[in-house]
Amino acid sequence: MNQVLSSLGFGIVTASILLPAAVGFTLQFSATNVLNIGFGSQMTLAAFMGYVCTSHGLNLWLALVLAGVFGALTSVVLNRALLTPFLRRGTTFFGMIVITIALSLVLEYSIEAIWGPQSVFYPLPPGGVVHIAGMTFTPDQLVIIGIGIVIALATHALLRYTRTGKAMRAVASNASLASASGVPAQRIVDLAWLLSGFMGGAAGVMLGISISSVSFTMGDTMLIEIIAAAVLGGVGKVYGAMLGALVIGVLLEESAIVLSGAYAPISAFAVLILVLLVRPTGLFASSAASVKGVAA
Amino acid sequence: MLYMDAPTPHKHAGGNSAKRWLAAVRCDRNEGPDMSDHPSTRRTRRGRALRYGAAPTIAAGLAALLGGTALAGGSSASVPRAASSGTLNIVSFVPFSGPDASFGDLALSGCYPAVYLINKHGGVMGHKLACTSSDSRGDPVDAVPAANALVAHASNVAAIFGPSSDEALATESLFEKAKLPTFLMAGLGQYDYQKSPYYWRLTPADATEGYAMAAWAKQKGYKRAAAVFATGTTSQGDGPASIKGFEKLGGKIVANVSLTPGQPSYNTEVSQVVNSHPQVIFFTAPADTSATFFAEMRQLGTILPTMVTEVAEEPAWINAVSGAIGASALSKNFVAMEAQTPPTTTPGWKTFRSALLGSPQKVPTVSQYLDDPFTLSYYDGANLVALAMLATHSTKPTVYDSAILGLATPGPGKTVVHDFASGAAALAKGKKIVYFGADGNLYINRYHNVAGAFVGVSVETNPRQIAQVPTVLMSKAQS
Amino acid sequence: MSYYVTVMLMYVLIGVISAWGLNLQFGETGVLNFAFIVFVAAGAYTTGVLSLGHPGHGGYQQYFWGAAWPWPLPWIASTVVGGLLGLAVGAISLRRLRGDYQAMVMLVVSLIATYLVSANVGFLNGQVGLALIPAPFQGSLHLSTLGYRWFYLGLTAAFTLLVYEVMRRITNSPLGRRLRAVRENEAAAVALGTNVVATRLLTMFVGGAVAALAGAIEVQFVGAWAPSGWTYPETFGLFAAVLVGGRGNLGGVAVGALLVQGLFLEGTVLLPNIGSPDLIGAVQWITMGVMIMVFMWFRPQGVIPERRKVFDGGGAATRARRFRLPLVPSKVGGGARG
Repeated sequence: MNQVLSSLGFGIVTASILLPAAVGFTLQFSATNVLNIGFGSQMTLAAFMGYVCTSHGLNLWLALVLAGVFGALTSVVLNRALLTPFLRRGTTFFGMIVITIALSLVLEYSIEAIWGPQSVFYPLPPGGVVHIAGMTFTPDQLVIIGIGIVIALATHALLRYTRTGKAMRAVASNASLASASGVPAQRIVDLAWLLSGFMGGAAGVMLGISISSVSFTMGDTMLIEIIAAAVLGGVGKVYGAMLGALVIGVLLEESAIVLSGAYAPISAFAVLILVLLVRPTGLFASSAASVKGVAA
Repeated sequence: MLYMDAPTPHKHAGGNSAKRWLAAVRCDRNEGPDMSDHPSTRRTRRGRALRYGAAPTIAAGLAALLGGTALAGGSSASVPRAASSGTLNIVSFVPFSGPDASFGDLALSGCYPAVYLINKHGGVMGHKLACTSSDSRGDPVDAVPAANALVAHASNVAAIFGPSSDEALATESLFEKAKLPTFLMAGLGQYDYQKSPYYWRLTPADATEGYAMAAWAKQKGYKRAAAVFATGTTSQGDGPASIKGFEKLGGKIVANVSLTPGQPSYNTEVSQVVNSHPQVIFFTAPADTSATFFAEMRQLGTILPTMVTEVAEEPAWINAVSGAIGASALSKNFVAMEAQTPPTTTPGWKTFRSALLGSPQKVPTVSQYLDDPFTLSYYDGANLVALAMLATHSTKPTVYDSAILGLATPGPGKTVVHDFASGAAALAKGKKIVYFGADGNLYINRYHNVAGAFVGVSVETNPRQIAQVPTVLMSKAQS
Repeated sequence: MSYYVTVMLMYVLIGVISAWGLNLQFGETGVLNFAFIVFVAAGAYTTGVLSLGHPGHGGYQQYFWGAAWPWPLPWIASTVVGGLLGLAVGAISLRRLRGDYQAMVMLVVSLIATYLVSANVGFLNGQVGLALIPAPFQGSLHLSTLGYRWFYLGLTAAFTLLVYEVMRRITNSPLGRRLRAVRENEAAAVALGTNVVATRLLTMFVGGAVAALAGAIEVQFVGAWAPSGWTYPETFGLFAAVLVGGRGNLGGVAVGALLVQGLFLEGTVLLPNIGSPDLIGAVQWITMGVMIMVFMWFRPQGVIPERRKVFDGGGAATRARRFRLPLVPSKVGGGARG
């Protein structure tokens, strides 16, 4: 019992990192229909920017915000300079996947070329621990959970209560209809990239804090878990991604109780595949999703 | 006991006035029946740890190297191009990228100071020496073409430093055919009794490290141990050995946990370990995995006494884990099992030290390598190769390779030399020599393996030797 | 030097065979199999396990059943295993899932496979992998090492031709037209009575078998195989070969494999001495990424584009494709959103 609770605590921390990443990933996908495999390396790049900030003496949490901003800007620039031109040329859905894979290679190995193959580290102040209901957290982890919750709530508020958010949802559910009804599509697309870049950048630094190191492969390693969370919730479904993040995060931890640690990641993905066998469009997908979904 | 004279603690000469206490004389290696034939009591191994996503692809690169036409890729900007045809290269063929990227610097850290001194002394028979590198990428599929490229340009290669466990078996037939002195970084049990005249392993088998852990824990009176190993080649070598050895010595393994590197958290694994109430942990994992693991262990309340391997003495590992739990917790609770290196008063080591620090070519964080058994043995390997050339008046690998064993083995009437310069001078006078360099007497056996003692070393930026691992217990653990 | 030449040629041929397998799935049928390298690995492991024989010395690896099947049985077994694995993976990921899900699930499958093999040391020797895998006839031929290499190269070339012939027949047959119909316009293909799922499964079977054959050939040449050699980015290298060469064109794909493999093997020789050795690997990957983008921009149809085939996916599509794009314009039937 104790073990289950304590693992739950760590699972929540992992979920809090996965959440912004998965929400950013899926939000951008639903608004732009580009499956961005480069997302993981963009996270890593932002995490390294955070490292640059902290190594210049900046406060870690300030660095996190700056890395988020950096992530947002690179995301918009990459979309405008690279992805949009390809889309204009008529590159198809799968063609875009290949482009983002190429982008991911370029980013990831540029990071290796600049910062080397070995990990770097954020200066983490050694702090005490806080016990909450049988779970143990460090102050850093509580902040990370806080950020996760804030991002979840902010996303909810944005989508539910603002004009922009409503416009985003409109674009996500039917782009041509939305633009016919006067929704400024390009602005919405920019905004989607901006938000996803910010969330990815923040998640990158959060991950670096949580695992106590930053390496050039870290975002790509995490990408699979992000994708799993997004797919589990139903691709393009923001709330689904939140739920998916929670499920995958907790599952990664809890399954290690039953299985040997080395098998824990396998079990999380196995659950993903089982769910997809039963619900091919993910837990959260409404029947509408499969109608508007990508067919090929 | 043959040459050692200083049983009392010495002030460490290296680095920044660090105190490094040597607990005892280097172990008496003649003790025990065939210790010198048994490659089991010395130094650590090299294996791999796994990280996803870093993988290079199908085809390996022909990493830079060799040959008047090709390029010299070194690990610092100041690498000389292997320009003149007279230059003889010592090629470090180990991973420079991927999870085991740190092996590259380890090999070069020994090569640079040796080559610096040799060239300062005029080189070998008119040839300059150079340290070049070829990235094996830690993966057999990538290593094979890289090794082929190396051998294809082998006309001015004097020796190979490597391969590591990651690629040794895939490339061995090729390197054997190349007939070049090859100084393995591979701790695989395969090479314990290897017969190739061109293969040399001046570092111990992987498993030995695990037995050292077991013996150390036993000596400390620990009865309950947890084994925690990341999936990877290292763990497949020393993990089972530590478990088997500890049980043989009457201990109990209360938890046996394997870690998949690259996970966002290892809390459950940490809890399993803590809840099984071990007195000591046997641990091997790459830097970032270790940082996550111990940060979470600290969070659950306590850092248990932990025994680690030589990997933990590398700068990346120390940075990572001390960042996660603090340097003081690290030095207080962690002990690394390392091959014993000689006291810092020996002339061979002193020359090595000044060359390491004085060489214009350096690896990063160079002071970290002052006592690394790998660095020391690679420095000695380079010197032995150069001296063997002088001794045989030949730069033909098949000729000078056969002289290496003799140069490292003491015998009646042989002059003891401690560095290249004095060795070259003695050889010029027609004397027979034996080379005891940075690492002292290497005790190379007929399988071209070495046997020696292990020590427990503290894990910190300026490591201290704490005590020798009891050799009797070690032999018992692996019996 | 000839040693090196033989290695180059071997890697290029192995690359060509794998790329043809991927081309059948991705180039012809439009299946985005990001787990392709897993099938190569499956073939390599199968052949490795079936030819390792009994342990000579050392406790380095488990020898499973001590099987030392004579050639070509291990290769045949590999092909079967690769094909069946293709069916199994296809049954999970292609049966009910949408295209975007398929691609992502394939990535996940690729990762699970590496985890699975690394986590369980008893199964395929974990992260250390298999080594000392004997090559066929090496003992009985009494050739020099180099002579043997040329022999093995000849053997590989023969199999390359065999695979070429199989691929050519498939693409030129009615089946090939069905594959392209599925790629170009799934809805239309369904309307014409094509069983889309069965067609995709078939390409998973054949492509998986071809991949496994490539793995089998490779493992007996290299003599070792480990998880670090088949992580999921490896698949991207093969995608690059198919894209650069020209998807849907066997000759083009072969050229692509030659270029990509050639760049990876030889490119570093051309690079100037740029600091630390690990940079070379990084620069190769960056070059590969840039190369994919450049090709997708300037020559999306590849070096040697696909020839126009009888079926043209509804008239205008083929024409448009020649000038625009090599990749599935799956607009019909609820195609790409946006």
